[in-house]
Amino acid sequence: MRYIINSSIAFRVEDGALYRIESNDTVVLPIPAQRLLLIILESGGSILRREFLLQEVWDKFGLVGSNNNLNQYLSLLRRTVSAFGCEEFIETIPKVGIKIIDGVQIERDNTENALSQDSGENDNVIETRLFTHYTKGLFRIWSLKNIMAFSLLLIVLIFLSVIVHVKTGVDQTPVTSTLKGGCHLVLYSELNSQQYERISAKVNDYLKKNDKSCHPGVTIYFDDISSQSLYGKGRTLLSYCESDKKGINDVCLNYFFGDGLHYDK
Amino acid sequence: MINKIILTVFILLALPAGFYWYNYQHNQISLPFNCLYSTDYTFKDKGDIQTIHLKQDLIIRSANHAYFLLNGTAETSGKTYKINRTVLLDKGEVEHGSETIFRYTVNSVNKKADDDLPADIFDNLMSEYTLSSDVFELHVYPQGRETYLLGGTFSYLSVCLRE
Repeated sequence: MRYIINSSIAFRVEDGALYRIESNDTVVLPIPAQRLLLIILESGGSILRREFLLQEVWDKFGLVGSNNNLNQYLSLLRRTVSAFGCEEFIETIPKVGIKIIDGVQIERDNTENALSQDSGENDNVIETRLFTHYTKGLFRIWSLKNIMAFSLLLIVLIFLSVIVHVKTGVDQTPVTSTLKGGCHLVLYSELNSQQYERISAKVNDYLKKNDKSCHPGVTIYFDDISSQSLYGKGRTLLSYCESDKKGINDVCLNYFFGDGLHYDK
Repeated sequence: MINKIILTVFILLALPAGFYWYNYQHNQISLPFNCLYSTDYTFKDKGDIQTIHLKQDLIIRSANHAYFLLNGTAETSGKTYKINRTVLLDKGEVEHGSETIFRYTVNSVNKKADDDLPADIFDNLMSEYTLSSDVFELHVYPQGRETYLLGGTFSYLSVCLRE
């Protein structure tokens, strides 16, 4: 058996599924909400008192319900029905109770087994029910398709992150420090303190040899590699850049040192 | 609860993806790319010292058209030579990443009349920029505002300032 609200939303009593007929989006309601909705749908538009609802939904089943519980499930029903396109469904009568808003059409479909009748078009109901079982409190419309689409998006994002990470790498990240004198030293590898001291001394040595000094406004880019290739044993670059008042490099002088030649003399 | 978890996971994944994507975009080098620099090259070999003082203009017009201007002097074995030539590059390809790699074919080298640099010294210099006799490769790393680190086939070579 099922109830049809405004010819667009159906509530199937057998499994407590509330679904939009056109799109088949389905939410399986928690049991108290199922009982509450059934009472509302069968009320014929009459006012339902709070005490009556508490008794019919909870007390009758040996449970203890409260006004908070009632408000919570009423809120759930309003939101779910609203999400399915019927924004005006339940009206609150202050200090009395609730009633279906005038004009809302309720039809009763007495087909014996609405569940099997609908099973062809509601393939995701069981999956949704399982999902709902683990997600009490998730009252928005999360069909399996939505979850799968979301998961796919996450996988694509992870994949993109990895690809971009691999492609961009991190090896070239410069490491900047300040040397005695106030100039900045930019290196292209992480060094321990001993290596750093050695490189700093080497940089100072190069500066002296080339009549340059370390002072604020100067940035020194330095790299030193060793190689056992056929073409030499090492290469060193020292770039001495002076910046303007805005801090933008204005002049750069480069000193490149190569041990060995690319040809036999 | 679960939608909060999903949202959190989504944010945790989206943030690094966004960060890397921003870096990737930020490191892109737009063309034309004109970058100027002055470099003193010193090559030492068994007591011989070869020094080349150059002002260089790197002008990359497109993936298929670039040129490389060299102007300066070279000293070796007590002799001084003048360098004034243009290396024309074409048939290029560009690879983007944290660095941008420009790879071109050396189309021709045009010497001005006053250029008297011996071929072996020039070849020694060009060997820092070439993979083979005619494949010119340059790695360009952004270093901040208008400043780029240039790398050759073996190591970093210079810092240039974009015009």
